[in-house]
Amino acid sequence: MSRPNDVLGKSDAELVRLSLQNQDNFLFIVQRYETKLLRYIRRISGVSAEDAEDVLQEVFIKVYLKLNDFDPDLKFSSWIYRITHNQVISHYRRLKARPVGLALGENSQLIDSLISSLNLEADVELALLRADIYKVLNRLDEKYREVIVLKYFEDKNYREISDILKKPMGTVGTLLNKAKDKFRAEFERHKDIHVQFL
Amino acid sequence: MMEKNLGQDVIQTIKVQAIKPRPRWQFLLKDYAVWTAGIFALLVGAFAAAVIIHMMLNNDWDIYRDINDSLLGFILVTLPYFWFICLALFMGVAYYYFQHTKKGYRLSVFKLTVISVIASIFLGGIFYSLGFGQVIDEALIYRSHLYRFLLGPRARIWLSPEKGFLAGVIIKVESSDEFRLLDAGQQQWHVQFRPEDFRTMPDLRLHNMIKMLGRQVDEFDFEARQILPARLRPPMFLGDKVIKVRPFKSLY
Repeated sequence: MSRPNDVLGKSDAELVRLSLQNQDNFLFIVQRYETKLLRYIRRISGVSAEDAEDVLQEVFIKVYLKLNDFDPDLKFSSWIYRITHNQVISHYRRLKARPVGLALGENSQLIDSLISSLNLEADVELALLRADIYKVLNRLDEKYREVIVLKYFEDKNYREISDILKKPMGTVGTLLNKAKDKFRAEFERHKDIHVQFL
Repeated sequence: MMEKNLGQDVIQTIKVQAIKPRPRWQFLLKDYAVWTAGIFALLVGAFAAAVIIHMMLNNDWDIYRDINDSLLGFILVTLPYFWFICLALFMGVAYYYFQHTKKGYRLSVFKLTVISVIASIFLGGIFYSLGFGQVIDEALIYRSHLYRFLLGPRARIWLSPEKGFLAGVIIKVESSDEFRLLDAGQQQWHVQFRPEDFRTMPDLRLHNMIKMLGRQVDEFDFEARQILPARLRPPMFLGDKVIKVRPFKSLY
């Protein structure tokens, strides 16, 4: 097994090669991605931390099984996110349930970037927005929520989202625009209800 | 807590269950299988396109008024619907498989559709030029009853002696105004015509394929008022060579 300091500067593709040579090296891939992927799983599914860990463990086993299928033309992160995305879907298919949505306390910078991109702050207090953003996102269809999560919470570009969701870039753009429209509409509805109760 | 243990748990599971990465050849095999299925479907679609080109170019444009009152009606009657359905079906299958190749998802539906259509038509043009359109159409006309009477519009038209249309192969020249013809349904006909009605004498050599306008005078007797070659336009690369489909093996 390589020493931890030796692998710090290594690329993902090199870590894949090392893992194929010695299974212990796979630990470095797990360590590099576990936090990001755990957060991603929770963002798109809203499951508890324990359930997310179970899904994540299955993800890593699947990644290990498919190491020889990794295509270096693709970013490793896109590939591993794709496997995670598929695993979350199959997890829910097994349970015959649908993801319940975001359940995390998010980094406010990420939320602010989403708010700013949707031009929502004009007439609503920011704190209120931040508090309600999860509720609104949770009401969106899975496909819209996921593309928003990838773009604004995982900070992925169009090419990466296209590779993760296995959709053409044009479709990703369209999906994202629709997702933003849906979000705005849902947000307006949410705001109206909120105001009625004030 | 999780961050400390998950990696070790994963490695432990891998070791305990003796999990090994699946060999690369399995993934390659799957990729090749998808590509092969896509290319196969594309080729089948291209063969269908070759038959369509053959049928459209060799349609009876010069005598369409004898077949239908209007050009539009003639086109609708003679369109090779069966082959268009085949083409669409196999283009769809090819599209499906190409979309399921490793990077197929990167192409939009529009681009992938355009590529499938252009590839099918381009390959279909090549196959037509090589004579495959004619071979497939004629082989089916002579070997499949279903194709002859239901799926091939021209065969259906030219096997309607009661309506004055008959086509086939000359199997015996009996005199300057009489010959025997075998139609695609393997039925022999006695054909008569009046040479004085023809501005130029038809080419009545043995084994020539012809089509005739005229009338059925008896059960297997036909009187021709117009005799035309059944192949008007030989495929580009074949020039005047005629592909011999051997439907009448027993007679040769």
